[in-house]
Amino acid sequence: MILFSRVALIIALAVSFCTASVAETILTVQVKNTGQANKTTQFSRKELLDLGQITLTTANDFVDGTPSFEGPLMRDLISAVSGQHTTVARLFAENDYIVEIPTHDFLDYDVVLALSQDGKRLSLRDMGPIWLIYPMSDHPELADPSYNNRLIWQLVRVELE
Amino acid sequence: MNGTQNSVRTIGFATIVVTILTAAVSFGFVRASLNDIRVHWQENLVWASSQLEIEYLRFRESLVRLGDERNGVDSAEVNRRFEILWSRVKLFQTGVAGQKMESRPHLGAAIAALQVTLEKQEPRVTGLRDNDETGASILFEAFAKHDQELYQFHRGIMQAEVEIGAGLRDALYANHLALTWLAGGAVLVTLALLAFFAAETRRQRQAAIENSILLEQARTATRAKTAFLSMMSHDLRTPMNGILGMIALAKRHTADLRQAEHLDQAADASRQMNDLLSDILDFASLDAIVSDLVAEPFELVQLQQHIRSELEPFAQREDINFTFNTTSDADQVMLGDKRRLSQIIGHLARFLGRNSATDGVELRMSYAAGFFRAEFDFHYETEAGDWHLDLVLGPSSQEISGFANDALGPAIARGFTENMGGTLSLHLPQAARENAVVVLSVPLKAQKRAYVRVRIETQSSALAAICKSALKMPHVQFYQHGDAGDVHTVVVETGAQFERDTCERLRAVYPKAKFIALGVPLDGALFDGEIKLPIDVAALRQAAFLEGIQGSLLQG
Repeated sequence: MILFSRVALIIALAVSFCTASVAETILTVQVKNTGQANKTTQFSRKELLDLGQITLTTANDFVDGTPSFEGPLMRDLISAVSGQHTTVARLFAENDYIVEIPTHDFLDYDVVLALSQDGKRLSLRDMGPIWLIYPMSDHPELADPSYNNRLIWQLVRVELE
Repeated sequence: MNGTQNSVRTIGFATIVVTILTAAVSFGFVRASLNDIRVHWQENLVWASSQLEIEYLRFRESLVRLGDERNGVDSAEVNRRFEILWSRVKLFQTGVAGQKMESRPHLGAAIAALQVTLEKQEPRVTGLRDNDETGASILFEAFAKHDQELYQFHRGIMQAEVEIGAGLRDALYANHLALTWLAGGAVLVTLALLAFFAAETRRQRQAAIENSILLEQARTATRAKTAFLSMMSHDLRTPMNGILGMIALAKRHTADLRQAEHLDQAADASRQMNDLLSDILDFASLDAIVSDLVAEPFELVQLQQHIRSELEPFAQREDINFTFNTTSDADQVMLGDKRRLSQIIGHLARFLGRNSATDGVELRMSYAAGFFRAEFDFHYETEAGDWHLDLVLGPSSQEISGFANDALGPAIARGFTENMGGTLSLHLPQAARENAVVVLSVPLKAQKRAYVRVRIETQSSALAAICKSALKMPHVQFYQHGDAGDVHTVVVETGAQFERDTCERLRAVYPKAKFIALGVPLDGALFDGEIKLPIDVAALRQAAFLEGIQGSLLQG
């Protein structure tokens, strides 16, 4: 009986740990100055995956070759938080790096919030968990330092204004 | 001149090509330099090394603060800093930064050493527990050796970047300098070419001015020569006519046959001299400009009469029979220089008559399709003597030096023909019995013949008939009873009420007509002119201004 109770406790703890792991917030999105109260939405990896995945195969200055990046489109994330009327996105990295991007970029290009690269989940060590990727191979005009600076990695927070 | 123009054109073209090539090459150099600078700043190693150093210090700080009661961090934060540091190290191993580091192997050692330490210490970092100050201290010491290495690495990166940047700037400056020199050279060449063009244009303009002066001088000399020839031929002809007159008088008073024969020969020689003088006068007027030509209306019959009378003395003297044949539209009148045409035909006729050993020349004249055509049809033996008919078309180059009196006539004819825009051609006989034909063709305008309409109103039919007879001319039409249309001249017999009634009635019908009184009018105000009886033909024609009316109608 005691053995059964201990096994049940271990299983309960394991499930609890797994659930907590899955639901861990990896991205916070805040919509500001839209005429209503600021709205903050938190996304776990699963919730980001649920936005729909696309695969973007492209090169950039920080990788070798042309790897494939998988993740949701940035414009889908903006739609999910009702931030379509915003004009500027301010993105924050884990190390407090900040970059401001006009939101029309996300309409003009398929900008992806990459969660994995070549099928491998992005860790902090691999510029993850979220790396903003522009389709540079498909659009030569993006091969410019001003767009390089927008490839923010280790993304943790987005403010939309 | 053409050679110079071609050279100028070639130099100009070559300069343009060289300038374009220079601009293209220079633009290519500058663009390449700018692209190098863009690539250089595409991934800035200085920025990446700064990031590495910052994250390294943050990781080291997190180790110090692990377990600190006031500003402490937990082991998870240390692990996060460790992971971020690792990602910054990876920046130098992939992508553009990785490629750049391959060209800086002396700097890569610090990154490789840090990577080794990261891999070696990873189990200790992941195994770190909160408040594990001992573990943190060990880790802190384990990474301590990289403090100086990363500092030197960052300095090395900065120095290398500065050197590369300086190199790129120097290259850009060199390209810019080369471009400046090339552009300056192109400008200098262009200026030199422009100066050359200006000098060449000035030289050509000067040459043109000199040429025009020379041309004017030549024209003046020619005019002087022409004037001299004209004057001399006139002056010579006058005494020659005197000689002819004296010869004729002398012949009339002599009964001696031999003396009369001598006088005939002297008269012939004098006439030939006169003809020769006429030719010289015509030849002198050859250089007359085309505007000297007059355009007067004439008919082929008139031209024929004029030529016939001109040729008659020559025909009698040379015993040649000239026959004339004209064909033209009766309603057409030609517009042209009749005198000049008769000169051409006269010269040709005399030349052919004198030289071709023929005893008869048929001259056919016609007008059709805008061209006057005169054909001289005569018998010609192709093998007869030294004289050749093709002299009509001009002497050969060998014969020019021996320009003889015989050639003067056709030369004048050719000159006048060219002045009138016409041509001369020759059809030699192809068979023994065929004649030769010389054809003169001259473009002339023509217009429908204009008539003067005359209405005669008399009480006496005999007077009307006399009047008609006096006015009968080719261009005069008489009004017939019932005719419609305008009338130019009205001739009215004077006397009694008939004169007034007729004038008033017809003045209303022909307000612009000229009214001529036939006899002494009772009221002179009714008439524009009057002819006394009996009728004087010349006076009637003059009073009616028929010649004048004809001229104005034709011109109009």
